[in-house]
Amino acid sequence: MERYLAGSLSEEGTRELFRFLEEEPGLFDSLTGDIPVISAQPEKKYPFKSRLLKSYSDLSEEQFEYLCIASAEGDLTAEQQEEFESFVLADEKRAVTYNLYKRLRLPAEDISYPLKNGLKRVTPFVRVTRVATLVMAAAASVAILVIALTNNSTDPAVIPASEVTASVSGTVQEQEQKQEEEIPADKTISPVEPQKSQVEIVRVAETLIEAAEVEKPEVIERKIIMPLAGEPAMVRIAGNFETPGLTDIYTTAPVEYQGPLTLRNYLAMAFRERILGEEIPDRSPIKAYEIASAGITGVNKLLGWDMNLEFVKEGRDDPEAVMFSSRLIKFQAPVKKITADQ
Amino acid sequence: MTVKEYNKAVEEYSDGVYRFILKNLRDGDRASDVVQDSFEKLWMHVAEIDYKVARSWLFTTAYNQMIDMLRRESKMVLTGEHNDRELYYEGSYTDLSEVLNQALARLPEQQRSVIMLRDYEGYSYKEIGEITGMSEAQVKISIYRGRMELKRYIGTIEAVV
Repeated sequence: MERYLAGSLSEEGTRELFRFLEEEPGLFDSLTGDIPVISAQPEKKYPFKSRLLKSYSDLSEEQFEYLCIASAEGDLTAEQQEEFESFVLADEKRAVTYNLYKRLRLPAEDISYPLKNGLKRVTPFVRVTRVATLVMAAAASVAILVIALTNNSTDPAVIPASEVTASVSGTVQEQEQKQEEEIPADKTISPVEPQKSQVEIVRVAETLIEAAEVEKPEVIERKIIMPLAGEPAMVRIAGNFETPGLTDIYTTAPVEYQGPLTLRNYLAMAFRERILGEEIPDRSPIKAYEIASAGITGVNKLLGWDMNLEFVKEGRDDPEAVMFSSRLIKFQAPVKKITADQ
Repeated sequence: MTVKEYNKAVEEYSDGVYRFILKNLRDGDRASDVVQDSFEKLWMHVAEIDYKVARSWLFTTAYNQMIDMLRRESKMVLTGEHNDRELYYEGSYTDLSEVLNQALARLPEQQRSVIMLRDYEGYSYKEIGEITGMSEAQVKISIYRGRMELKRYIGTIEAVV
């Protein structure tokens, strides 16, 4: 009963209690007569609640500044931030303070550590690569010195590739006769083979002219293998193809027959063609500056460097000087030449 | 951490550590020494330290080394021991960043460090706490106080022309 009055009796307990009281009407009457009436608690309201309500305008200066910093630091929730900003923007004076706090972030400064490279460590692979690079660079330097200090003159018995100019105005037979007259007298010429070469050049030139008369390009050229010598040459014709008599033939073929190719000639030509990338390789012995040039090209490709070796030439002769340039050093050195009588 | 990662850490973090120490010590040579020592220590523990934590490890090491250096030289300015009058500047400025740097230099070391770690490196309160050995709440309070001091030094935004 007490639990019922206290309101802590379960629903089932309540039903059982009432069932019991129905069975005992006397008991029910005696109980209801003594039980005081418990009326509901009247709703009392705190009369000064409105005094406790606050708005942003009630914030102290310190609290306001705290919120400004919290806002600038991103510590406010989205709801707080929205509410705070709407309040701040409505008050011009506080908006100034708020904006100042927002600008109090330290500006980015471009300060670099000057000894950064000294801190880096190298792996064994990098160490080996660096040593190899140094060795190769030293080898290239030695090669350049060799170029500068040693004999680079050509074999006087071999006439270098030169340009031959001839006029094409007739048949092959006419050219054969004409070339005999045009070949310079100061050059030693084998009596038969050069003529064969010249005839071959003119023959090729004639076919080029025929092609040129149709296509009418400014320059037309064809690579040929010279008869007997077996070395390549380039026949190039240029000029006004509408007037065959004025058409010029240029060829890189030597005017003098140099004999059949030897293994040394072949290797020299293969080196120039494969390594140096020359289209028409010369058969003369490989020069030191050509080896240096190939070495530098290899180092550049391997390590991505930008070394450069240029040859200062006058005409088609051997270089007068070499000019080396890299990030570290740049110099020009004359190529020492030894004359035939030396 | 691999050697490659170590070198990457040098490339990416040495500038930040150097700037942090330099702005605190205001001495390029000593800042450079601290950076070198920090990376030397990192190299000694290169096998144990993961690259992901290398940045905070470097800042922690450099910060501790800097504090030791300042203590040894008895030049450390303790928190709250600054002169209030030094924190006011009533002139007019031409550049806010210049003024901020002046104000930053006048802050106590602890406030200066946490604000720099926050602004320059973008560290969270927790990360700054790990670097400086402070609790997250202490870091937050230091940053808030530091910001208020900066604002007090600058005065009003109108002062910055």
